[in-house]
Amino acid sequence: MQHSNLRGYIILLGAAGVLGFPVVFQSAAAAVQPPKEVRIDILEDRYGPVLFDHELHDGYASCVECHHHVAGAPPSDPVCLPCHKEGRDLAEIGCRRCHAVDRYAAIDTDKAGRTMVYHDDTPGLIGAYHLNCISCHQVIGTGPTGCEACHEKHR
Amino acid sequence: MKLKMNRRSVLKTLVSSAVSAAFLRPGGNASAHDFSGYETNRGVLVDLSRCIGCRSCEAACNREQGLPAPHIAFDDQSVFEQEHSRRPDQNAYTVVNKYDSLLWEHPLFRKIQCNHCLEPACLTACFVNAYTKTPEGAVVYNADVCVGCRTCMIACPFSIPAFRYDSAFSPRIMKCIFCYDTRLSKGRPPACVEACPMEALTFGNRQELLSIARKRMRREPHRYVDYIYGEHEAGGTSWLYISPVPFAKAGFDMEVPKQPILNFVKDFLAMVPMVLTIWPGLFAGIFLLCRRRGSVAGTGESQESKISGEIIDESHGE
Ligand code: SF4
Ligand code: SF4
Repeated sequence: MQHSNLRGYIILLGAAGVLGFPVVFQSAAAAVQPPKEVRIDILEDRYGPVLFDHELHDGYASCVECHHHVAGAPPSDPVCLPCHKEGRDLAEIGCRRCHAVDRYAAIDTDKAGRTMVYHDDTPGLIGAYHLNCISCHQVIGTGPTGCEACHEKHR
Repeated sequence: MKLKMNRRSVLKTLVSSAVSAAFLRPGGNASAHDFSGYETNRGVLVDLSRCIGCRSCEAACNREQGLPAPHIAFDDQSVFEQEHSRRPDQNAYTVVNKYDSLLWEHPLFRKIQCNHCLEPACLTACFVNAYTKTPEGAVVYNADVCVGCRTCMIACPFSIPAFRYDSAFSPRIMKCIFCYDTRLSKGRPPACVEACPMEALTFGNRQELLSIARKRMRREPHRYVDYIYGEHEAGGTSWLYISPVPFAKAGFDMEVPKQPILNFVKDFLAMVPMVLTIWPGLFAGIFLLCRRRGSVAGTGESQESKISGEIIDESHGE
């Protein structure tokens, strides 16, 4: 089924990210087809899963507008660019490679003010999703901006 | 701007003008300006351009602090139309209000809570030391020693401390404590920050937050007015704000002095020993005078003994 494939893909990406292996996209887009739909069900105890129509958004925005770069290419964000022009990070386009799942993990808060000189204001994964989605919807005047349009409440 | 006067502001004005008239030396007291807070002072940077008014922070605070259920559910956005300019009170340590501004592409929302001042006026004003400023920056309160005089409510430049009236015998001030017991003291951010889906709230060291705020302004100058509210207000606060519209348009009080309220209050406090030593004598004297005048025309017996007898009688009657 579509979903289980997709899940596998996400888990693979996640696991690779966690373990520090770059997921290599050989000759860019040719190797891996982007998912048609992404299902986010981390809050399933409270809300229905968020079904993100990746294919639909393909028509609205170019890849880099959300992903900051495409596999193998340097990032479009001038903040990231100076250091991340090249290297294995570029192979990865999964969000959590840069956006921490646990934004305020103790390890980061302890480091705060000392070593996080450049990464002091990178949104966490949840922040990155909401900031990306809602801010864009607000500006273009279409797409959901309210909570329950994406997070359907269990009735 | 409309001139708003309420009882609190009248009192505040009266107190501070009386105090400054009587005690402020011209050109004096610059010393307290130098204090920029503990180095370990944590804070939260609130980015108004990001907030979407989802009220997740309110809900998280309610749960974390075990506060009573709200009368309008947290997922009910109609609260913004039903109630304007809500304030934190004894049932809610934080509230979010909506501000419509033509200057920005979407409605603005602003979360209000204790700003955890670097030199808290509430703390300075409290004569039983019910407040503590922790090295992490939180301003916490101890109900055990509080006598319920509510001076802190008048002293706070942001009108934050609220009073719980349900028990006359155990007075209790209710205000945000930065989740000190359960989170901040363990190095974790307060519940509201963790709940915010937009990262409109960013937790960190205050000094670092100031530099993050400046970086955001530099990167996206069209997105922010060039001001950090809380950098200097009331001598500096742990909670800092950046906004796409002038702060007055989002309900911020721009009249808050840029120096610590301490500078006023400490002079006021200098009065306290005087109050304690002189006033009782003064008032007792006035009291005696009045009584005396009332009974001079009466019997010829010793006024002195009669009066002290009455006073003792009265105290017995209490
Ligand atoms: S905002 Fe008010 S209650 Fe909070 S620390 Fe400052 S003076 Fe005290
Ligand atoms: S949780 Fe964040 S986005 Fe939601 S109302 Fe509170 S500050 Fe705003």
